[in-house]
Amino acid sequence: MTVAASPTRLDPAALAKLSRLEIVARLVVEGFISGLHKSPHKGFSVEFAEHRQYVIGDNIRDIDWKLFGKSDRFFIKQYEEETNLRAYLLVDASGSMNYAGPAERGRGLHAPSPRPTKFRYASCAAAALSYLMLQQRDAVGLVTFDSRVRRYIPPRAKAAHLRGIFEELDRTQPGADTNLSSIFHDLAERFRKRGLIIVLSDLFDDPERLASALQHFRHKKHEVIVFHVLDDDELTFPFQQLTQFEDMETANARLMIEPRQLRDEYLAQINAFIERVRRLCWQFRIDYVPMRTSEPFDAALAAYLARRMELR
Amino acid sequence: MSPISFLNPAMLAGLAAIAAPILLHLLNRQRFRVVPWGAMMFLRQSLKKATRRLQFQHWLLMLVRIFILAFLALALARPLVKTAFTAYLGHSRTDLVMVLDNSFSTTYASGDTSDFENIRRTALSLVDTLRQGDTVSVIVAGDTARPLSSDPSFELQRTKQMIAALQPQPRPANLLRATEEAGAWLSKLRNPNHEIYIITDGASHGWNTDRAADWERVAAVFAKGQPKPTVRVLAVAAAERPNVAIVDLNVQPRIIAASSIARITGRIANYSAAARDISTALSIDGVQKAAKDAHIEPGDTAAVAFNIQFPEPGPHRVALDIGADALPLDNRRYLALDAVETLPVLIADGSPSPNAFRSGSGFLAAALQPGDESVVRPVVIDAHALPSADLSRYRVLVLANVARVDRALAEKLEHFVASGRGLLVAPGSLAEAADYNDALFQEGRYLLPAKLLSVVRAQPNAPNRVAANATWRPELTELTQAQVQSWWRLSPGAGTFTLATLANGDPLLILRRLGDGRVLQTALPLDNSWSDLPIHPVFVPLVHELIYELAIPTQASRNLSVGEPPPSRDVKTDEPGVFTSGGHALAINLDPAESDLTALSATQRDSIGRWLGATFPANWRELPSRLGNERFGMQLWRELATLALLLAVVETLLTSLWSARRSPGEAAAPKMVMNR
Repeated sequence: MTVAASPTRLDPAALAKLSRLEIVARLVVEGFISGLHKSPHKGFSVEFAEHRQYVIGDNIRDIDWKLFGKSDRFFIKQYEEETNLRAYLLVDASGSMNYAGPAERGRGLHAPSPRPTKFRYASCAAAALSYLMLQQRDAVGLVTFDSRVRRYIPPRAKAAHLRGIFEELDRTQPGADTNLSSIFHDLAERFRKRGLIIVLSDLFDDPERLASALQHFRHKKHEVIVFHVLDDDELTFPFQQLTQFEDMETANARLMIEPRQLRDEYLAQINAFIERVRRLCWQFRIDYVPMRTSEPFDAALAAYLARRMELR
Repeated sequence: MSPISFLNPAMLAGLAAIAAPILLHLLNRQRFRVVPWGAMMFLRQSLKKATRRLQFQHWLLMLVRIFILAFLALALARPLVKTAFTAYLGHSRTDLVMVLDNSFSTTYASGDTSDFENIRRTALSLVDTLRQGDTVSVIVAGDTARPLSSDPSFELQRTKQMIAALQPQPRPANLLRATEEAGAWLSKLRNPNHEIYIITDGASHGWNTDRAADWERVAAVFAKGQPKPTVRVLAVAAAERPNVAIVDLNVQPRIIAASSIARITGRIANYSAAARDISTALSIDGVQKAAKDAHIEPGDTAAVAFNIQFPEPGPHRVALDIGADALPLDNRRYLALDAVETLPVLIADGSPSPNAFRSGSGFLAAALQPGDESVVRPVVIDAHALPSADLSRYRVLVLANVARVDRALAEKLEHFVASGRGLLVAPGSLAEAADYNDALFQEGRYLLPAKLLSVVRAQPNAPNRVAANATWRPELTELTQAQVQSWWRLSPGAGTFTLATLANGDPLLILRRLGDGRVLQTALPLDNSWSDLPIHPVFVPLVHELIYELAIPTQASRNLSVGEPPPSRDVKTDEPGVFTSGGHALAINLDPAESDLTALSATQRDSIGRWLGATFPANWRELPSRLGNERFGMQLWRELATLALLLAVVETLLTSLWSARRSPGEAAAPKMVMNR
């Protein structure tokens, strides 16, 4: 499999098939970065802030000797303090994240879908983000959860740490029911140091409770970016014939539905939900980034970088 | 009659089709796709909101579909509604079939007009009641029951002209058959109103009311037609029609010798309530020869007999006349006869003997010519001389116990029979079965009526006898006294008639007709070798009857009824009369049964009414003016079909409205905004 054909807009379906997230992450990030006009590395090197008079006790390494040559005084070069960003990746591993669309018409019921599952998509995005962050020496932590927290990897800024995150994402299989809000409340208490909280989820929960949970993060002075991962099917409801929908999160919960009759109602419901979530995020100054599993990961990286700039 | 009937009730079975939407619905429920789904919360919310609406839509659609099919099935069944209300909606189209009695009894004239004239007028006035779109068919109830035109006619004027041109025929009526034909005719017609009028003089002859099997057949034909026809029998003649008719005219003996005395007997029937005195006149060859008076009691017959001598041999035309009455056609009757000089018979004897009564032909020859005045003139020859004998002089040839028959002789015999003469085959002990079967029988395809199987011999103390139930000549009862010791077991071929049998059931006398000629075959020789038949007095009339049977065809086929197939193409049998044709006399007579003008009895009317559902309106003269009020009824199939169509449109609209077949791409999906 080659990915060189489209270095900047990498096909998520093709990427998702690559087994090792490490490769995915590097391909995504480098493809993305090479598309920027200015390399972010320059902007994030240690930057000069101001000069001040040398006082006893200052490190003589910091004396600006060129200035001393011109002015015959000791000035200290003062640098801006490096922002050690602490980012938490919250990846939803609930059952509903396993949706990848049913088999296409005419390709048999169990033929593989052309799109990755929402979880795989979220994992790839998370991997790419963590790779990018560690390149900029930000600390990255990972939380996978469904109805409870499945794994918590605290943030570190070491390159070796990255492998742990990738392995964890690779290993995780989406499972049980979602309980976003209580987990978010829990995590809000657990993250002592304030940082950037990146949520990758379909957010299938009650919007009111979700609101209070997100508010909790904000209350603790965390910055929050919500990546709302949805499948195309969930947004367009393209089904035609009589269909039995089986709940992916609860066993034996089925609904027999004539999709054509219910489509309008369904679309009204899901659009209302998305709009509600979007308004909530706006209200709490949370970045809301909708993601469709059929689109490239750029959105995730771009949103992160934008917020990263603001935080500096 | 119920107000709603169906012209095509078989289509009501189509109502079962309303099960189709239900079945489809159930089947559809079986065929679905399974999708594991994440966003169940939205589906549940949608369902909660939409369920009531969806169920309503679903049931409404199903109801609409059921009604579409139900209306379609009903429309195809073509319902006809007859209520007082629909009477205002107008005339319902009518298929009218008239059975017109034009038998010769309708020529009966009481007063100025004949009964047939009344029948014709009634028929014309019935045609006048029809309107455009109605059809009329006329079936003429002559004995062939023929329709006047090959198809039902919409051209009422033309039909009226055809009815006006109709004439009574000298034939009997066959009303039963004509009615059956009318029923079959109607079953092909499609107008909602079916009417049959049987217009007759009301005579009971022609209905055959006592034959239940025929009526069952006719009733079955009527039961097939939809809708049920209205059947009316209009008896237009007076109930009492006195009539006197000659019902028979015959001659004895059956073969008339020139210059001998023949007895001509006429039978006259009095079909009236009063005794009648009749004067009869007999004419021979157009010249009145004798006259006699007769007195006939009511309902009885009387015979008048004339002894006539025919001095000249040859064809003679005999006519008996009883003077005119209201029905003139049956007051004359005809008889054709051929007086013969002699009836020469050649007997080929297979076992000639100087002692005539030891020979095969002695008894026969003696019995055939008891005296010099006898008509039959037998000539006996040795069978060996037969191939060279000149047969042209003889009317009948007898093979008396002839031993062998070869193909050449067979051809000669065939030629003899084909020229209209008779062959009597009486095989005895000498006969070679193989020869007979090979040369004459040829597996039933040739002259001989039966195959010779084997000679059967009875026990000496238990001789076989002739069966008593012989229908051929019942007067020859003494035949049963004869004792039969041996006989040929015969196997009759196809198309033959067994005239007499032996007591054990074996055939004794078998007849085959070949054109005008005839072949008779006996199982015994006509001598005393196998039976004691010749010593019984009945032997003399027996052999005469055998010879007459073989010689008579020329006689019987010349006294015909009207309409019988004529013996040759250049004569017609359409009219009664007597004439000479091709050297023979030919008489054509009416069916005497038709002269009986007795009207249908109350029980006969009941029976006809029961079988056909027919009525006998007494005031038939006013009937045409009443018919207009009867022929109403509304056909609903157009309305039903329109309803079905409208519902189909509604169904289409509803489906497209509700199932919202928008392509998923353009569905109101949220616009995904990238906030870079």
